[in-house]
Amino acid sequence: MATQGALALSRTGESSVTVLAHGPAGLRIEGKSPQVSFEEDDAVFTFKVPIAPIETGIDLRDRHLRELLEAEKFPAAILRVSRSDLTFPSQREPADGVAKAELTLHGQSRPVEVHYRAEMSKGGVTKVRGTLQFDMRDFQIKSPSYLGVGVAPEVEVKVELALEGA
Amino acid sequence: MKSALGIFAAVGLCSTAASAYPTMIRHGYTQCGSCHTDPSGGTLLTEYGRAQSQLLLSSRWGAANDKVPDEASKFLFGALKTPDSVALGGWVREGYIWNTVDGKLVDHRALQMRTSAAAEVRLGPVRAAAELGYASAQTVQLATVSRNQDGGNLVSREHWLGLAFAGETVLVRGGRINLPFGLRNIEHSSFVRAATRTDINEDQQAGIAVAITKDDWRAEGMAILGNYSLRPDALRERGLAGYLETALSPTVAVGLSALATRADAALETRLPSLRQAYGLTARAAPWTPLVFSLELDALLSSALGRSSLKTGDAGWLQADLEVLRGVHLLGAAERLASPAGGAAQYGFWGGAAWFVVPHLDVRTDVIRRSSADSPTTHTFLIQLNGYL
Repeated sequence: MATQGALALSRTGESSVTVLAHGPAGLRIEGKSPQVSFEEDDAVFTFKVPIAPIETGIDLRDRHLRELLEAEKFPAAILRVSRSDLTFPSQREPADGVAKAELTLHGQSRPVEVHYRAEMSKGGVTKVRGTLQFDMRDFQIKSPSYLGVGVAPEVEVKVELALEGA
Repeated sequence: MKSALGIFAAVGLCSTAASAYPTMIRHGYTQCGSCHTDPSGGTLLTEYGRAQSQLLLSSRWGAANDKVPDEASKFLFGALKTPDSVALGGWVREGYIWNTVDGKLVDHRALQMRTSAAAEVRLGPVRAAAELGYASAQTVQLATVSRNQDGGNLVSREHWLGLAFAGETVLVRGGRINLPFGLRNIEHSSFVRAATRTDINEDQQAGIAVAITKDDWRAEGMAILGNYSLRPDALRERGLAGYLETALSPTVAVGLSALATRADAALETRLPSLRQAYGLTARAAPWTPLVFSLELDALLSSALGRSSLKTGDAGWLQADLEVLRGVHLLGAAERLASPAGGAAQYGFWGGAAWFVVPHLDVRTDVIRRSSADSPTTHTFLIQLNGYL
């Protein structure tokens, strides 16, 4: 997003995805993964997040997450955003906005809105922060419940990427 | 006189203990209400809390970290099935204590620390909880139900009726409730808990409380109507207490607490008095096995009708290092400058706790306390806790 030319993930290791779900009595479940892959073609940016490496801090909960999302059958969440929906930053001015995108999760594809902000930094690296929300039920995922503690179907996803010109 | 004070301090150091683990923040649990029936933590576990106890607190004994909690985590090891709307629990905590003053052993004895059973019932939005137990002579006197002066007594640390709403994020309760102030740490004889009279061993009071639990902050405020285990009425404190804690991240939380109570006859002076405490708390797990807990309290005490305002402070800094799953090394430093006067007291705690299996843990502590105007005391305590 630094330019409208070819981009690749920076090797600085600054990319991550955070998944946030909420339960009763203030229960907050945060899953994190450093694994985000990025591809682009002339028209579309594609972000891919493998499900299996997402960690919530509790091994059993990670297992439940993989089972819930049928990670063996649907191993990744994929977000596709059209280039034409994005504003690109310049050296002097960051870019932000809301882009229409398509999220594929659990074998289902649905439109979502992505709020993003992109900022160029020295060294040719562009830092991109994006957030989106979705409802698990739209992706035919059952709202999980464990020993009387359920999780709300609305889920937030935050993605941080460091991109550089390829 | 100094020796007498030292003996009193050492003997009074440890009696009964309850259960609360603010260090669960190491697993991203900044909130308490998922695992405990009390939204601010402590005492009875929910079914989810029992499962987390087996998963996250107890030694695994070779089991895989993602092994599903089994019947062993449940009430009476699953032998008695209870409806989903009912949570039952019970405790048998026994200990042995040795106290020394200036290096001389002045007291050693077995401690019957906690023998009680508790239940919570949920019917729609209605919550009802109570704990009933037995305490040996001269212990847990601020929570007694019966009035046996020379022998054991029935005790009820908490009993309340409540209404939950807004997706269980709000709970309004009335009854005998843990005071919402500071860290809800298990070390009830720590200076911060004793000086503010906010331990979960016996300092609960009757009142009406509103607890709000959101995913990145929690708060509870309580109108204190008095401790009805105390007689006569003049001794009962009335006022307000509350805390607000915000999670800066899943493993860092900071909070503020305040308490102001008035009594016609303060327990120490028998004079009309106003007691205030204002606290700052912090919990942080910079590394999953290591949790730091901090509480700094300002203490204010004034005799009503007189112009004197006495001030003091109390502090507590604890490090909890889980060296193996279920095995914790514990260290703490504390300070108390009492509004009542006297030299500042300092305490150092060292110990270990082992959550052997889901219903059993052992703990040992060494506590050194000293001040410029009283002899140095050492307390050695070993505890065995069984949870039904």
